[in-house]
Amino acid sequence: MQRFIEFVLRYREHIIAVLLSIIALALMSYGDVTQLGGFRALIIGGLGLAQEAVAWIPNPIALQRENQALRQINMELLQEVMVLRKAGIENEQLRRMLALRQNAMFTYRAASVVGKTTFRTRQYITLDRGSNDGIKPGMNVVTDAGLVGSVIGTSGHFAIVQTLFNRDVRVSARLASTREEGIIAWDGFEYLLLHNIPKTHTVQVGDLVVTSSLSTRYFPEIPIGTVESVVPDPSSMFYRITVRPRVEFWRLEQVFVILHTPPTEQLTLENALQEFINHRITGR
Amino acid sequence: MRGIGEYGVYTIAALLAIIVGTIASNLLSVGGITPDLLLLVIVALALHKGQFPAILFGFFSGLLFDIVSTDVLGSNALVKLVAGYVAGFFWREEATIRSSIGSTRYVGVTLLCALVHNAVYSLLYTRPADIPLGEFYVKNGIAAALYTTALALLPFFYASRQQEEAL
Repeated sequence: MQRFIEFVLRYREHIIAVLLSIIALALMSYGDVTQLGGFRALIIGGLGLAQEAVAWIPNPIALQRENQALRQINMELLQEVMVLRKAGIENEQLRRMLALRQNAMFTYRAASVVGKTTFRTRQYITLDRGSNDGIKPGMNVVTDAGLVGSVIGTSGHFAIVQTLFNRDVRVSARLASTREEGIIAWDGFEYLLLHNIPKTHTVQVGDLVVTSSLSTRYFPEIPIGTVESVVPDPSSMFYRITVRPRVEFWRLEQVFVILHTPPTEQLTLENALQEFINHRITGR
Repeated sequence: MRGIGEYGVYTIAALLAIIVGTIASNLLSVGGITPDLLLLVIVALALHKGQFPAILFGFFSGLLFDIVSTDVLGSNALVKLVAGYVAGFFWREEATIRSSIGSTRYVGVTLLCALVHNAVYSLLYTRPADIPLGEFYVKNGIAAALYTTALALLPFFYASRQQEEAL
């Protein structure tokens, strides 16, 4: 016993390092901060207030770029409005002919970005709207350019949004031109990757990538980005497709939260299936 | 500054590092690279107080950072305790807070710890995703380590000047 105590005291640094490493790895395996419930809402509220307090510090370069980008988008939208006006009239006539029901439009809530948090390159943004404004976790966040991400936590007056630049985010997406389905994930740097598009399909640089109707977390047809490069992956039957996001995350100032959560019934069912599979694999 | 008082100072410094790193990370970010302010506190404590307290301090401060930063719970706790463990090897028994921070060893150990810390973090970060580890580490790990080391020069210059004045 005496020897054991001496051993422990002698190597206590190494022993405590190993023990705490095991605890840290266990924490990583079993839970994440999203499971902290009310405590998390408290943190989000506190962070939001603090970030709002420092949000007045101007960033002139970002503002100038934002203005340029907005002017460009404005011009493009003007042209689109003209085309859409004509298409709308045609659509109305066709709908009447087919007696189709009009799709209900989403309700949007405008929000200002009061904080941008970067940990390594994992990005979150804090919005100045929270659960008091009807915002809930799971709601999609967009700009006029396209998809920003989804709300992962709220307090009364603030919400935290997980952007697409995050290793945990996978978005079911499709090529707008060919309707080919794939999965969007962050490449770890400045672009996104569109996975699972077979080499047998034709993909053009510049093709628009939008959210797919297969997604349970994102509403369909929200623009994500445009194809930047297409390279056949020699080790698989798929392309390696790089996608340039349409949203410029570093310049985000105003966003819109879609005040609808994607259908929870489908998500619950799929999560239950995933849990069942995990349970069978781990035998727990 | 003795005993609990010294640890109190490190705790306050760590809390400030966490708050500033979380709230003002966007203001500190250069090309998407952010410095690790908490690491500066852990290295200082390791050089001043030794490996054992540095490991404990690294673990608990990292855990707090995980909670505040919405990162995966346990990830920063692990990498910060590794940083404290590595930095602790450079501890000297007669060290004071000024001699610890005011020495070029502080800058060198910070760079080493930041490189090791970011290597472990990059491994944890890229493993579940389709992100190339080497490329990610070169861009984010090394660049962030250099940025953190550059910030370590501020307390280093301040402490070394105070040391000179005291002599």
